[in-house]
Amino acid sequence: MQTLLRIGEMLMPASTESHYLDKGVLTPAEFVAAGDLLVTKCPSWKWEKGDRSHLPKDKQFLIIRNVPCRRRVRDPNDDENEVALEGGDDGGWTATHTTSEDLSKELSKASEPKTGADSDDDIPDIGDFSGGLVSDLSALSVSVVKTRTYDISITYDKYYQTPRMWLFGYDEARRPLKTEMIFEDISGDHANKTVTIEPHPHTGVSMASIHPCRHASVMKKFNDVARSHGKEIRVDQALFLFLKFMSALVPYIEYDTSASVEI
Amino acid sequence: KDKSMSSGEPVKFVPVSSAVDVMFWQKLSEMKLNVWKLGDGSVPIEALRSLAAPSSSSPLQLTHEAFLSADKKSLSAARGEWAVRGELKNYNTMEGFKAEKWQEVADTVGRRIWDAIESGEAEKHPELLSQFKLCSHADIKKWVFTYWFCFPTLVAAGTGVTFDAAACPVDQVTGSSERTKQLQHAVEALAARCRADPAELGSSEFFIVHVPHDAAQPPEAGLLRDFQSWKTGERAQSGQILLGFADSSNLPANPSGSVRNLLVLAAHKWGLAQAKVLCLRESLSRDGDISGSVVLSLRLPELPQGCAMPQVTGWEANAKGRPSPRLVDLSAIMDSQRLAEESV
Repeated sequence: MQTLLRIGEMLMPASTESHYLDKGVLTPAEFVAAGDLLVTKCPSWKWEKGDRSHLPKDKQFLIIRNVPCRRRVRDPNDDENEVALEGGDDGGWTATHTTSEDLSKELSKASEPKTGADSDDDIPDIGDFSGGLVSDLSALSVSVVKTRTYDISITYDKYYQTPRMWLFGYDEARRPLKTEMIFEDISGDHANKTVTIEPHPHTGVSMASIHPCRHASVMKKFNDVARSHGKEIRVDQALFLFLKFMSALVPYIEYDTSASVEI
Repeated sequence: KDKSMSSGEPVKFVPVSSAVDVMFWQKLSEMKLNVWKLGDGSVPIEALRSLAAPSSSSPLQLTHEAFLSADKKSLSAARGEWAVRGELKNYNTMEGFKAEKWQEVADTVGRRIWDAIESGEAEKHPELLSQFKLCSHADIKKWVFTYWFCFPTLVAAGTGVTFDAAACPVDQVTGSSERTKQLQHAVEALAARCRADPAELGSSEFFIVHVPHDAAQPPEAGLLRDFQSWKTGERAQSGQILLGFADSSNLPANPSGSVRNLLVLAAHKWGLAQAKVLCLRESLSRDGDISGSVVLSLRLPELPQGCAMPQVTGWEANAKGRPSPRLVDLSAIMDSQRLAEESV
């Protein structure tokens, strides 16, 4: 399936004509310009290299690492505890049948969800190595709060002609999060509808991704609203806009939106 | 007020922590299969250190870019980041890994740091103070990696570093937020100079600062190698001289442990009994604003000329807080197709 998609992607010509305003989509060149602005304003975002021919070799996708995520949108042990988020019509996120199918498949594979708190116990014991080491009396050992962290990347989806967000999480002990645990950090309504687990197009690592099928219509909607207020979200600001509406899905992943545009 | 900040209290440092991303392990596997094969010598790698944001401390980050080669001699660090040099030893067998004499490994790198302090080389190349070691074992078929970082830290016997006065916000030392802004520009200009010519100027992870008493004069940032001339020159009369470093801790009175080797240099090489230390930190706006930085007034341990090398610590603790190797299992998340290709 992946291979088919990739071949399809290769055969499809990359568009060069801008349909940002009328359709909410980006050309590869517009994606690169928007990425350039993002890394200039927020240097913790970086370009990564890759081999897709429709993008410059050294500007294939964007990544930010070690973004803290201090609390869960939902506690897997307590359904009542779900944090209320601003709901309503946020731009027409709707179920896509293929993705929910993928998701239920993925979830049925998942084992019992676990909280981070008891995860220390399953650290495999590979023996005691501390014998003979000089102990450090000046190291702060308590009160360094450990949190989950995420590496977030944004790729260009050639089929949908939009940015696409990928999430890779680590637990408090810096071990990769199991997929079902990542869903604890995705806003309830969306987790079951728009998140898929797929190999990252550039690294091959299986990751959670926000499916891009509705991105263009959301981008267009935000643009229309801005323009009706006499404002314009320039095409090179598109990723700030993108990150802004993505943050509704991953409300506690604290990536930097401080330099963002006014929407 | 925080009790630990009062005079005479020992300083507790936030241990340096590591964050290795998945692509690092992918790249390591690739190097093991195609380049090193059964070789297990040490290879140079680099990590990135960044400033703490108000809400969180920053770990030392290793990515697939960590591996250096003839045509990539150093990582490109962005604004607010510093490349930190280390070496990686990947053991062929788990038995070999388990049989390692860990204190000796720490001592070997610690000795290099101490020698660089004594010879003066560390003042010309401050990055020598933060060199680290990564020991690993890769079970490539199963995608399971065992690894352990050492951030070698020289520790003088006795009570260690203590507070001379309470920590204070940087504005209190510069006198105003405008002058803190001037200091920020001076530090950024120094960092840009060092990034442009690392071979000659070394890393700007550690630096010195001059804050003139005359509020009309802007603060200056300088290289460690200029300390002796600043200290004996006009600047010592006209203002305060501070040590500065890129602090990845965000706690008000607990600097990152990465500063400890600089303090050993200050005590041993420069003979300082006290030091003011600027802990460079980022504030909320993330445009390089350093107004969240703090200044610590510290009393340093005695390390007179001719003294023996201090003891060396620095093996990273695991999630339970004990020094121990860590294990990461990536089998579930690697693309099965790629796995198949790579195991051929």
